Parts: sequence; structure tokens; C-alpha cells
Amino acid sequence: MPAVSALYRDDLADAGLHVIGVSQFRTTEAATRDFVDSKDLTFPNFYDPEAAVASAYGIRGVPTYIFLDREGRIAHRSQGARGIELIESVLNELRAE
Amino acid sequence: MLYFLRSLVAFRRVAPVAQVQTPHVIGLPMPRSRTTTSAIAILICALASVFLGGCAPNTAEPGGSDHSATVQVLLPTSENPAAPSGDAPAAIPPTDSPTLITATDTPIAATDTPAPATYTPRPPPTYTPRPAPTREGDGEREEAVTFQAQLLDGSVLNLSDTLGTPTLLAFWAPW
Repeated sequence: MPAVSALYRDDLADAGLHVIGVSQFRTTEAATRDFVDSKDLTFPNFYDPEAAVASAYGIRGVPTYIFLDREGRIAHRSQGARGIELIESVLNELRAE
Repeated sequence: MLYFLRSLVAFRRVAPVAQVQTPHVIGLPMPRSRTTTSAIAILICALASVFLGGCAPNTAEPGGSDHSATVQVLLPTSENPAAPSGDAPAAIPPTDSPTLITATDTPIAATDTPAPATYTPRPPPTYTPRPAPTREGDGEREEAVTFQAQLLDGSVLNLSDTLGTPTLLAFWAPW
């Protein structure tokens, strides 16, 4: 998440792209806050105690990235640790659409 | 014929009675007398005179020396379908005509040309183009589940507010 935060801070925010962090899986809201503060995550985050959102999107592990296009449809899914280049390229493709 | 008669007269003057001695054994050289040698020479001259005398009138006929023109007339073309009338020498095809030699020596195409190989051409290959490979997520996109949540800073996030802008949902855990 620190890499995503850096990308968001340096590029995505200025490009008007949204990044929403969802924290869940055997954690607490306090632990989430501590992590956000310690890693200086600048993009919006919320705590999902019941993993309701994760279940709605079929999340089976973390990290998992869901890319939504301009129309609010799922354009791409990526599960597991991936390079920050993939996130940037997919978002740029969606932005070019 | 005039040359032949003259030759006979000359022959009789030289040898009133031709005495041609035949060899006893064929193939062995025999001594020839002066009379025999002269008779042979005269006979050769007489034959030559007869031969030349017989051929001379034909060559003297108009158009007889022009073989190419004669052949052209005899060619069975549509321009001259009618056969030549009469027994004029011009109508007789010369045996030493280059055109006729060529015609007789030319091999028949049907016999000399090998029969072309027969084969059945293969039908052109037909194929169905494969669809272009698609990336994961291409094609018909699934509608995202909308949700409303309270952010860590206390503000309320409605996913529908992000419509019109590409959005990344990052599911993570602090460990």
C-alpha cells in the first residue's frame, strides 16, 4: 500500500483518478488507523469490519485490486502483489477510454 | 537427244564395234584397252548429255526456277482451295524443296510432345480466423457493486460519486 499511496500522491490524484482503500480480514479499526498513519497513506481508506464490501466483490485474499471504468463497471481485476507499473498502466488505459 | 545422237556417231567412229570386256572375276582389276576406256568415256558423256538435255527444258519454263512461289501456290490454304489444273511442271512439287523437307522432317507434335501431367488442384485452405486475444477484464464488463462507507477521516464515501472517473479499489490488510 505504500507504493500505491506514493503513486496516488504523485500522479493519480492530479489526474483526477480515485483510489479507495478497503481494510479488513482479521484486523481492527485501530490497527488500520495506525497503519495508515505510519505509512502516510494519503488516499481515502475505510475499515470494513464485516468484510461486506470484500464479499460483494468476491475478494479471496489481499492485496487485490479492482479497476472500475468511468461507467462504474469492473474493467480489470488483479490479485496478489503486482508491480506499481501495472496499476498505473491500467488506470491510464481506463483514463484514455 | 541431239547430244545423244552425236555421241553415238562419235562412238561409232572411234569403235565401230564396242568391245567391252567383262572381268572374269568381279572385283579384280582388269587391264583395259584403249578402245574400252574410250567407249566408257563416251558412254558417260552420252548419259550426261541425255540427262542434261532432259532436264534443260523444265528449268527453262517460266516460273520453274522459283520453288518458293510454286510451293506457295500448292499450299492448301483457304486463299487457294482449288487444286492446280493440268499437268504443268509448276504444279509438281519439287522433291528437293526446303519447304517440303521441313514439312516432312517436322515431328508431329502429338507424338513427340509428352502428354501433360494431369493433376487435381488442391482446394484453397479454408479457415476461420481466431478471435483476437483479449486481456483479462475485456469484453462485457460487470457492473460494480455500489456501496456507501464511512472513511477513516469521518467523511462518507458513496461509490456512485466516482462515476465518470476511473477508480481503483485496493483491498488490503495492515499486516
